[in-house]
Amino acid sequence: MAYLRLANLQCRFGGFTAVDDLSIDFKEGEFIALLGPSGCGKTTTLRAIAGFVEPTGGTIELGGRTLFGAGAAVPPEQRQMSMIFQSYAIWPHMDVFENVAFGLRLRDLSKAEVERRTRRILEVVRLDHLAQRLPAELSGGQQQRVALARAIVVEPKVLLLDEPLSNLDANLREEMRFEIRRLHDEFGITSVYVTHDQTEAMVTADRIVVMNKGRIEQADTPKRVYDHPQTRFVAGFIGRTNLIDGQFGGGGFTAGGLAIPFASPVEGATALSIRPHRIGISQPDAVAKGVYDIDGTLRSRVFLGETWEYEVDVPGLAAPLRVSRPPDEVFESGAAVRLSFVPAAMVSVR
Amino acid sequence: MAKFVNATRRLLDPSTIVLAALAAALIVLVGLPLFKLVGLSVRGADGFSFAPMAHAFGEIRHLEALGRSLFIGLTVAAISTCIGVPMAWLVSRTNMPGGNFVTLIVVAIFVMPPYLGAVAWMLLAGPNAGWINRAWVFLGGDERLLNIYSMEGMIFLIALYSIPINFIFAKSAFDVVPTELEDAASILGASRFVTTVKVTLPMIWPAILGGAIIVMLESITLFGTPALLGIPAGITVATTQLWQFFEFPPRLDAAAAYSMSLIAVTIAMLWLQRRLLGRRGFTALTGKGGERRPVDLGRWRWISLGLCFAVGTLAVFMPLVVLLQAAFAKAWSRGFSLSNLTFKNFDYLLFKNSSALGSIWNTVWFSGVAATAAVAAALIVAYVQARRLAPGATLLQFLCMVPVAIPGIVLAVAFYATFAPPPFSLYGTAAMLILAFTIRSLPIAFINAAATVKSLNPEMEDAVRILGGSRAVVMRKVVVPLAKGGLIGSWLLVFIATTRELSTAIFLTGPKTKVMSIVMLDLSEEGNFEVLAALGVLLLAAAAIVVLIGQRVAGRDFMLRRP
Repeated sequence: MAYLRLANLQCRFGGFTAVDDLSIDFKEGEFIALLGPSGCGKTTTLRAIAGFVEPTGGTIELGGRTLFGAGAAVPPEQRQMSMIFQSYAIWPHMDVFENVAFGLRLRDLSKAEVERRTRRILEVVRLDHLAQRLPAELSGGQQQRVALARAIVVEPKVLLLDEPLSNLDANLREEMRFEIRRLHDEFGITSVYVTHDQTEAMVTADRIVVMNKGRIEQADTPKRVYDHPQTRFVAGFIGRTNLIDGQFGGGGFTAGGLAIPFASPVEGATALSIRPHRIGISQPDAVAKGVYDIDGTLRSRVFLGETWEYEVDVPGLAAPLRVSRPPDEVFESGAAVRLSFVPAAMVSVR
Repeated sequence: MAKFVNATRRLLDPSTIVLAALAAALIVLVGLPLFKLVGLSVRGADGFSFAPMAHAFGEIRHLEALGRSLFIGLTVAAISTCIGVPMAWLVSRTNMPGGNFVTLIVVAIFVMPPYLGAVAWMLLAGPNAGWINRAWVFLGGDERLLNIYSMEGMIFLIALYSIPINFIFAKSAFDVVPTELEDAASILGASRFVTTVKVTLPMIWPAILGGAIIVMLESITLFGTPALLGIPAGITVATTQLWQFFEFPPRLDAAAAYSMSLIAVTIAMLWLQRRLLGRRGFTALTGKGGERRPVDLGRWRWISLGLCFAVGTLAVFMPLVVLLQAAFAKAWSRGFSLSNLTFKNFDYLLFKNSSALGSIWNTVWFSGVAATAAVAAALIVAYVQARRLAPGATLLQFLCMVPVAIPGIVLAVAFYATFAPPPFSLYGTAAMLILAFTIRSLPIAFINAAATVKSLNPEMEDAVRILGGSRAVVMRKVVVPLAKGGLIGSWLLVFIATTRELSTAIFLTGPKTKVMSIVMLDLSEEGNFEVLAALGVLLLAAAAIVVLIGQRVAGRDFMLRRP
């Protein structure tokens, strides 16, 4: 049952199409991440949902009500949503309490009710002792929590998050990812989270929508997006991978001199994706392990502490294959090696 | 269908109506006078004609006046640059003591209206009774030492009161040249002198030239000083020539045609300045200052301070002393003595002479209304443009900035030609002056408003709306509180500039709408320097109070900032 529905959404700015024929349904209470590189249209989509960007086509519906399309264009202030901005957008001239209470004061609530709900949410985000502080007197993480509290306290129908963690340092970012997920689990607000960081998307989201060039590449659970990418873009954007160009047909995959048995590729598949850590590496004379084997030459290696990163030239393939192995599996540059992998490690992509 | 509904909704939006009204007002107040001015300059009794141009430029003395103005502009720019830039360097980059005090001197020079400085120097260096000449004779000198009623006198005075402009441009550039860039030259073996000439100066020369060009422009279009000092000596410049076209029989068409030369010079200068400041070399200055060490001047420290102090003495202290003396004197030439002391000048101004009191009141309320209107209009246009709220915003911005190319006295000619005759018939009304002052102030108000709006993060405003606040709530709760400091600073700047405006007021005041600057000009013609000085002292006192309030509200350097 769709709660928030985007249908054939299109946003054009002059000759540039930022969002192109985008359709997707969100369930109530779902946490969705819009993931993609900068310029992929994810922020434009989010701002269209908020009402800050007027789409040039398509419709947006929320709980059965048309927010945009068919002559309607509900302004942001009437969409009953809230948003967390990249810059936090905390008002510097109001203290923490006033910032958080702002949205409540715009709703016809009694003074006592505003006070009670503001106090409660400040406790939830552990800022109750800083209520009288001005934003300039807060750390980055505290400002972020003010933004969270301010957005959640109004109990919005949809919570929009626009790269909320990009201004925090690495440690704090990790902590806040879990904080955001915790608040979602506690309040169950339907959330749309824009990010270009795949880890952020994986930690927070129920479902990841991978976007590229204004279109949806794939919308799936974090695990499926990683394990079963459907396009080259998704395979390359979520984690690292080896993409081997070739042809599918007759129950197999052929590329250069290679022929690999492969049962049922996705429709229109043009390449095979294998993650670097799913490829085993051994001496060329090692016993076959009942998996697929390729012989090659180790071109270069880099030690990264947790792994060895090898590049292996395979006759007949244009690019070397990248292989990640634990520190104890050491091979020298220039050595002949045998690569092996199981069928489950292979994914066909468009 | 959807498009149509959306379009209708937009048309009925109150902000659309406000914008449309503003656009209409700007077109009438900026576009129409310019159109009228150009029209007058090329039309005779029946259609297109060269007659106005021929009358304006056909006489050799009219051309000489123009040439004299250009000469004054160039000399003044050279002199005041040679004083203002070193002062800025001393304050910004050296360990000269009393930097804040020197900055204060510059603010004081800035606050002093040039025509009031000219009046003070008439008392100091008038050929016969001037204080300096009398002292010279007393010391045994023969004849007079100085004559302020001369070309040299005018150039000296205009340059003196132009120094703040050079100072502001140069200081804002010196302030951001990172010491590291100079260190990079020093570490490669360059001496202090070579570093200054090869590194520092090339980086800031666009700013220095930019300041010089503005000074040149202001000097060419200045009216007060040439009117006070040039006319008695029979020296006519472009602006006073323009004034003479209005003497009987008035030749409005010739004045309009003659104005074209001033507009052309202005546009050429502004274009040149834009090109210079837009140059690649200037972008190095946008970076963060980094660590900055002052240059050690050694024993030159105190000498430098002394020279800055000397500039302050000539521009502010000496004029203030003679103005105060005259303001409280029965006859200024009788000197400092108790028997010469009187309050009757102030008594006359404030209680006896209704037109003087009226002019004070007019100045305050005209300037207040004009500053408010200019700042409000500029804020709306800057905001609409920055947030891309309406398609015509760029046109509105253009209309706000056009008056930059119209010298005050030309604006007065254009306003007179447009709004004095029916159907407007505004001559002699307060509206005439308020509107002219507003238009005159639009560019500076707009530049300030645009800088203020730029400093506001649009996400702060989006945050209000997504939480349920309308555009009106955005304005009331976020934009106005956050922009308040900048807007007050801008308002005060416009207010101070408008209270001393002379050239815009010159053709537009009627008997009941005189402002202080015009009354001072009248008093000077009557030779009533005591009452004139008293009025000047009141103006300066009021300006000083406004500046102090501004420094409280908008920061100590609010008058010296270049947005």
